Amino acid sequence: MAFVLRFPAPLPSLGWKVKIRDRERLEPPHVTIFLRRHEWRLGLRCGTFIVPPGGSWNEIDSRVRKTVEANWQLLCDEWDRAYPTNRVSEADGYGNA
Amino acid sequence: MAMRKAVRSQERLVILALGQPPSSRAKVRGVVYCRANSQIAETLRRSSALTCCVSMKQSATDEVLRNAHACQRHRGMTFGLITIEPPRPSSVPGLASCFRRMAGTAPNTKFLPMEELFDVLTAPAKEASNLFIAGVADMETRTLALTRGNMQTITVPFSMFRISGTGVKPDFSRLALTDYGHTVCLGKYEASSDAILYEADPEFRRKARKKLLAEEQTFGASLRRLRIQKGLGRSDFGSLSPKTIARLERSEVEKPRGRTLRMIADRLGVEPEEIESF
Repeated sequence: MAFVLRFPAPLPSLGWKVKIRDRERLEPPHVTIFLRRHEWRLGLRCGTFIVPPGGSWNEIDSRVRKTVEANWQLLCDEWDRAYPTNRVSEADGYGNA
Repeated sequence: MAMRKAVRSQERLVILALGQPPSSRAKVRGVVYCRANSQIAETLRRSSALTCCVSMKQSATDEVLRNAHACQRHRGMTFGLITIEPPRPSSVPGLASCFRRMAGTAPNTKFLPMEELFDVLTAPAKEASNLFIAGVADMETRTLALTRGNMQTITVPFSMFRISGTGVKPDFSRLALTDYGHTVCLGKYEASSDAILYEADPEFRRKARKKLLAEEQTFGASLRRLRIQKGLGRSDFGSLSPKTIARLERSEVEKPRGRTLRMIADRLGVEPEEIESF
C-alpha cells in the first residue's frame, strides 16, 4: 500500500498529496508531491527536486513544505521500508539528483 | 496567442451524449459537450483531425458510426475515440476506419475518474503523453495494456510489478487509475506511471536521461540505475561477487564483455546493449 503523508485541511481538498508508492522509479530515493495533474519528485538524500520534472519549493504551497519538512524522518523511514535495497542512508555518491 | 490556444483546446476534446449535464467540477473549459444524439453529427462535421471524442454511451458511439461516412469524406480520419461504455463488437471495425486511435473497446477497460480524464485530455500533448488515462488487464497473457493521454497504448507484463518491500502484492483484477494518470492501482498496490514508462518505453527513457544534465553517462552508472530499478542487490549476480558489481558501478574497471556482460544482462532481464540506455 502506498504511503500517503497526512496533510492538514485545506491542503487535501486543494489537491495536494505526498506519496511513496509500491513501485517507483527507484533512483534516487524520493517522495512524489502532487497537485492535481502536476507532480514534483523530492529527493530524500539531498532534499532537492529531481529532474525530470524538476521544480522548486516556490511552486509549492508553503504549508506543504512545512508538513514535508516536519515529517522528513518518517518519509525516509517509509522509503527504506518499501525499498530496502535502495535505502536513503545508503550513501554511495550517486544520491544527488 | 491565448485565442489560438482556446480554439485548439476546443478542437481537441468532444464529449458525446452526456445524459446529464456535467457537474460544475467535471466541466472543463474549452470542451464541447453534446447532450443529444442529434448534436453529434453536426459536432463531428465541425471537428478537426486533432479531435478526440469521448463517447459516454453505446448509443452515442453508434451515432458516431452512422455519421462516420460523412465525416471521413469531409476531412479524413478523426484522431481518437474513447468509449466509456464499450461499443458493440460489430461496430468496432467501422469505428477503427474512422479514428486513428481508440481506447475502451475491451469490456473490462478501466478509466481515470471523468474529471481527471477530461483534464488530461485537454492538457498539452507533451504532458498528457506521460499520463495514463485507461487500462486493461489481460489475465490470459498476463499483460497490462495502458493507454496514455496521447492515446498511444503500451503493453507491459505483470512481472514488471514486483512485490513491494512492505509485502503488498499487485492484484491485477482490481486495476484502477488515479492521481490524474500518475498512478496505476492494482488493488492496494500502487505503481507510478513514470516508473512504468521509464522501464517500458525507450523513447521516454531517452528523453528523461537527456534532462539529467549532470547525470553520469558511464556503463557503471547505467548498471547501477538498472539494478536498483529492478530491485536487485549487488549480491544477486550469481558468480559475480558484490565487490565486482560495486567496482563496475564505480567505473573502477572496464566495461565487461562476452559472457560476463551476458550474465549481467540476463540477471537484469535486458539485452546487453540495452544496459547503457538506462
